[in-house]
Amino acid sequence: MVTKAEQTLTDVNAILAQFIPLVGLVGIGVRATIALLKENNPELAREFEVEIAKYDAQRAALGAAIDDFYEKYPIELVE
Amino acid sequence: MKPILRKTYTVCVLLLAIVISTAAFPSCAGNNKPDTTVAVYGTNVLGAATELQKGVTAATDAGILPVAKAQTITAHVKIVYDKSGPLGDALRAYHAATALDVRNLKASEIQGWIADINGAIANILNVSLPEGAVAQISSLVGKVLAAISAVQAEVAKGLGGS
Repeated sequence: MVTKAEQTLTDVNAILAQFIPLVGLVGIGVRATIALLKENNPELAREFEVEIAKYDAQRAALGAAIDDFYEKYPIELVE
Repeated sequence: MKPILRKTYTVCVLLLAIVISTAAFPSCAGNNKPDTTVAVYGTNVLGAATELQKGVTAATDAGILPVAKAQTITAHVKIVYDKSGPLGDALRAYHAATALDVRNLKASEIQGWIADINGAIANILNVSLPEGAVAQISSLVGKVLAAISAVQAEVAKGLGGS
């Protein structure tokens, strides 16, 4: 079982390793980056949830518009 | 400054720059940032499709769009609605995934659903419209296509495209 923080560490380490092949210095950079990302992630996660809620609401509005049309013009009545 | 010191200084500055840029622009850190952009643009697509459907209903009510044509367009809009459900699920899964390979898989899936929605919208363009309805309906379809194009551009960037 890999925690999100561990996965983030792995991901960031892999990215940094592409640029700087100095393992000791990368370790310092990764720890600093993880600390900053962990600070940022809750806010980004909330932002995502808000946008998904808007998406769901808009999808419901589209469904209502389609239903409204089919109530007025049911497909069975057309040849 | 001695060469060894200059080299160490350069490496430290480079490292600091990467750390700062990763923090300031989380998207630089690969897939660590939840991709709210796709959800935002997806909302725009659904909003534009909703306006299109309302426009189709209004044009049919006004008698400028024949019922059969309106039903054909609505059938394609319904495909947008049907595909938007799995697209929303894929967005949630993308957000929840912790493993990079799962995220990449979900990003590809998202792009697939978007391509399907794009195809449905493109089919609406193939419906020949009576002269009285052309301007009104074409304008609404154009807005949906613009929203779709924005999504595709964002997803392509997320997958490493241009």
